[in-house]
Amino acid sequence: MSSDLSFPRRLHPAEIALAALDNVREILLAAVIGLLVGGGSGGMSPALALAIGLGGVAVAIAAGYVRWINTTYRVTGGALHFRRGVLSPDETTIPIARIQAIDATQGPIQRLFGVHELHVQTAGGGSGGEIVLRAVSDIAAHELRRVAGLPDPEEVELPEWRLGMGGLLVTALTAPQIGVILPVVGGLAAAGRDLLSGQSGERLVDRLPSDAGGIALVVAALAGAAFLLSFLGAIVAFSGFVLVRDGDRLRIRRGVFQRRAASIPLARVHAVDVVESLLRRPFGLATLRVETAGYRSEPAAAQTLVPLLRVGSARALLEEFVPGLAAETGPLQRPPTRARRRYALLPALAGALVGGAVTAIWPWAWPVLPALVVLGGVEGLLRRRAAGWRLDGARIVIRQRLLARRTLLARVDRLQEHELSVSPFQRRAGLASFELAVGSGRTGRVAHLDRAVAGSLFERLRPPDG
Amino acid sequence: MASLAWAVPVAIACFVADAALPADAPGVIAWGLRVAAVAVLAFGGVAFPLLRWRTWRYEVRDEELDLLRGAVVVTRTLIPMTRVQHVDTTRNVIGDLFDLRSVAVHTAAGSNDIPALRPGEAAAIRDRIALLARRPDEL
Repeated sequence: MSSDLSFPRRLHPAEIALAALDNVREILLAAVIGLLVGGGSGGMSPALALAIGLGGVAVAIAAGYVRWINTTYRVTGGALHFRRGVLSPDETTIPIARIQAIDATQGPIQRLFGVHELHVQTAGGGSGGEIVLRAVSDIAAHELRRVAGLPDPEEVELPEWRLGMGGLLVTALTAPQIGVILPVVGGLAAAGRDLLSGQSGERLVDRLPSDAGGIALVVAALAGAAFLLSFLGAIVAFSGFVLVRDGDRLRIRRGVFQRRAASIPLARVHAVDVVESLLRRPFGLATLRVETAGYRSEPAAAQTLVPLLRVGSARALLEEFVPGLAAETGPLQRPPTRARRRYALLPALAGALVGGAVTAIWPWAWPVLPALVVLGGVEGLLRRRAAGWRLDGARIVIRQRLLARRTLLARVDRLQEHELSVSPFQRRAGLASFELAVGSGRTGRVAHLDRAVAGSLFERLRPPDG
Repeated sequence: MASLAWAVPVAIACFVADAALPADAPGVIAWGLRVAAVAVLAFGGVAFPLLRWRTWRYEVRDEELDLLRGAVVVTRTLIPMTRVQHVDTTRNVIGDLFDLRSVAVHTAAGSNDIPALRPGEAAAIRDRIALLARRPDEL
């Protein structure tokens, strides 16, 4: 077949369906608004409504056809040109030499037609691709890659990490949201019940149990629902998770209904975050996240690199996928023992505050107060044990704990700022807190370090002269 | 000036609490609230900003921007020049009363302000930082 790409070429006709769907979506929105505003009174007969609806769909398809006719791409003069639009066509041009990658993804419509959505990636562009060809057949994709001098993804063996079925289940079971949702739902249920019994909602209250066992049952039911929701959410978000490293790029694909794909240039990965949540840490499991810097219109983002892995194998994985941050790590430098009291005090006070509030509202729940104070104090001590830092040449490691233990591995030459702060209490004890920020906006902080140690770390991170 | 943002609401809250007191409440509480409101305003509106202003230091070096601030918690922030994305001078209503400007230094992680500068000084700092940050450096 002819493989001359210098003549304008149309996308696969599946584009008609995609464009028509876009239009239908807009029409549907308008229709819903119209129904909400004008409908309800039954002014329009069903037949008329159906006719208008069908007419709308026909118009949408016609518009999609026109759009397809007017959307073309070609390769000429050493550049890829992409042209779209009817009345005032836009043309995007990318020199072939600047194309770093052509990523392919498939949405439901694309899968139906057996075509690919191609994202043409450049160094400057974001994860979405500077040119997006929404419907390209297999053969056309091969050709485009060949012209751009890029290897075909099916022909080269690339480092790849997949989340298996078991991994997905464990990920969903230990989804970090559960820890947050449970107390929130419990609190809401209790507050809602209290509100109802206090006000005019007597009838509703009659149906709700009033004894302690009944309340526990309701709370358990709500917690179960929350757990199920969180479980299903994680399944939907992470099923089919694939991480691929293609030279200087990471590709992440995930999702059931909407295949979501991200393509991240390694140069923009400023840090990797190892998150060991409360539920995962006892099993030695963690999540890896990448912290990337924003660029032009592309927002800075932190996203999941690996949903679930054994902490012990994190280094091997980084070696393969983010080698710049994979250096061997020794033990961390920890805050001195004299910082213990300061670490314990704040969470214990917070516990006292929450416990006091609960006791003020429900006096019978007074045991919550001492329990929360002790829990807060223990959390504070654990925070001190988790906290630490280490500078290995070009990489800095900062570990902190806020229920979950997070270890930030950051490139020193990409730090956005670093900070040393001393409160009056710390001054007396010769302590100081250290904080740094990476390009995604994420900060890493170690509180209550020895002041001299923190000061020398601060100095070592200053940019070299000249 | 920023401390007015909490001093004013707290003072208003004191006055509201004062007005909402039941008629038979002892007078001591009412007077206590009023005194507290005035004290909060005096501290937050005058003493605290003055202290903060006295402790504010900044230094623009070739390689880095060095900020030292805080009356109670003393914080020193260092921003490498190569990380500065853009700089601008900003003004607000209260600053305009005294003809003052701020310089906001933006990095990929957020922005830092150098507040309460004379317009000429602010422009000079902005231009100097912009010049020093001009060196191309990949993200």
